[in-house]
Amino acid sequence: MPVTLTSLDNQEFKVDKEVAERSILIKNMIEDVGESDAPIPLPNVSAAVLTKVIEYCEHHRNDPVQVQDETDDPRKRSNDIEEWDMKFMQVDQEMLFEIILAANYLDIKPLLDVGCKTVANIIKGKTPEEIRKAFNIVNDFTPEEEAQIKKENEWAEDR
Amino acid sequence: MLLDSIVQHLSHEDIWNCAQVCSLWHEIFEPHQWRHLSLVRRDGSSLFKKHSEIEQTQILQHAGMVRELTVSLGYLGQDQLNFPKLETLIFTLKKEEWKTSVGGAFGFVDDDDDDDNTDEDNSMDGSDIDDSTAYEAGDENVDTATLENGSIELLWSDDDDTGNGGEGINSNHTLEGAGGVANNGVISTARNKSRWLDGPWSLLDKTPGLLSLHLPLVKYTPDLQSRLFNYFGNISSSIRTDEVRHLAHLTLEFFNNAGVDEISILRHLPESLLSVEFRILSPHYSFSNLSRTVRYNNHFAEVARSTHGKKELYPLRPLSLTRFHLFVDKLHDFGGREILLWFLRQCSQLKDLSLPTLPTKIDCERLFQTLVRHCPKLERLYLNMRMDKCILHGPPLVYLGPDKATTFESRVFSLLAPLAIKRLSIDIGDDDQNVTLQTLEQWSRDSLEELHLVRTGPMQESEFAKIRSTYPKLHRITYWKLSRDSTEQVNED
Repeated sequence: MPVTLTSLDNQEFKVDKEVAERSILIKNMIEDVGESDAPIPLPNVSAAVLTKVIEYCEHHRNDPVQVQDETDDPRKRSNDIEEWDMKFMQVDQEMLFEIILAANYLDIKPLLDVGCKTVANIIKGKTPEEIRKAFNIVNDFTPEEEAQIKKENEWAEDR
Repeated sequence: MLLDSIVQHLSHEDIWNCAQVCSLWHEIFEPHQWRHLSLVRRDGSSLFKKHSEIEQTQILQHAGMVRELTVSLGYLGQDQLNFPKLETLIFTLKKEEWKTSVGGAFGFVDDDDDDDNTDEDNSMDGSDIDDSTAYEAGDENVDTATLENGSIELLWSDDDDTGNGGEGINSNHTLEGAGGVANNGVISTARNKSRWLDGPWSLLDKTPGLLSLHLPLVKYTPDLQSRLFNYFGNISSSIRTDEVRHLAHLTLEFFNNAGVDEISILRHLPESLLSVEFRILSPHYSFSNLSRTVRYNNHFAEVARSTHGKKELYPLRPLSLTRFHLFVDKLHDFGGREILLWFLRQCSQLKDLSLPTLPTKIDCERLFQTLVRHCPKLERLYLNMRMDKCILHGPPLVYLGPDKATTFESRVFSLLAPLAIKRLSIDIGDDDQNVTLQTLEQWSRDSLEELHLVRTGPMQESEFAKIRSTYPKLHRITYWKLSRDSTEQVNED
């Protein structure tokens, strides 16, 4: 049975229930409301972002429900993004952060994970200056502040 | 919260770089920088004494943010130091641990003194190489969740008597600052030391919700025994009864028996345990004092015979234990068999069991009968069938069964027949006549899926051909060859 989702800009998306239910938020809504043809409003997600999110959920519709594995050290796992997911995440930064926010709002843990790993991968191994370039950030530290931060952390680096 | 998700994929260095990007990022990332703190002194001096004022100020100022702390060759004996959010503490005096402890590398550090007298781990199935140890059956199944999620690790090296900060560890207040260690934890203690105990035990008192306890190679003294019993809270005199309510994983490595009976600890284990591993390494082991420790309890009683044939009553508590590994070195007999059998009677949920060298014939009979009757869910079993050690009386390889003469191995497997064993690990010693393998060929259990063997001397793939065809579900055979006495080893030498 299809479910209708309405985006922030009032665009409607018809998707299979099992696809929509990759989102725990939507799953709970459907359970609360019961069988209904009424569209589900998603006022925090734009049509462009919702299109991407639905694309992700369609692709992962048959994935088993993710079980939190506490034994895994996230630092060891940040490179284990599937190829399809990696390509899926090849979007501009604005869209990337929109997807992460939407995944958080819609409670789609695997998508949130992939998004955060993608951002982490952008940061990894970069110097502060390179990070500034990557995210278009202006360095607002005064030279004194910069010196102070370095001084405070000097001993920590001397290991 | 989103940032937390991102930060957890970053290394300490990456977080430090992020904190230098701009003032907003500094505000956001700085606390995360203190999430993992390693304090390392290469000169072995007391850590705090040698830190500059700014360093001390920094540590004290940010201590509230630290979740994981590694102290190497260090000393944290500052009374005012407090880490309220600490989840993991690794305290190491091992010089070789320096590198791994730098930069927030945390985790469980393998004990490099593990018994490892094998020189080869061969898989008979090329498509399914199995590096796990067959000698320690089921070890690959160790649940490491609690090791990662909040742990305390204290490591010593044997040469610490040179004074490299050892006095720091010994003092009670050393660990005061770790009072906030989360409910989950691993307490791993010093080897060959007894004086360190005060620190960790005072910490244990503060972590009643501990899920996992690991004591590697400790000297089992009456003092340790009483501390353990008290901690487990099952002694009537203990004022802390019920404190240990959650302990699920317990690993105890004892050596150098000092006139106390380690096995009796089985009688005091908390009911919450899911996994127990004992290693008792004692060249002059004796259970002679066992009867002294047997106590009378008439609340839940079962009649059993003590080691001296005197009837005793043992309390029975249904345990939820699923994994029990008992490794006792050079034990010729289950002198503590009554306690072991009594213990097994309570383990109706047991799935994974490792036994020490099989005992004498009569004890063996009772042991397996107990297993069949009381542990019906058993599916993983490690047996040590080194015949040269385990048969003390009578012909070494012949067991006189009720009806006819049969081999010892044959009797063992016939006793085990009612159990649906899926994974069987056997140390068959120098069984050059292949009695065990031949017996296994006849045993034929539909349930068997994995077979792991340890043998002195080489094995050939061809030796397993019949076994492969006998067991329909068997998909993996692995073996370890012991270097000791092996022909190959002799040639190499």
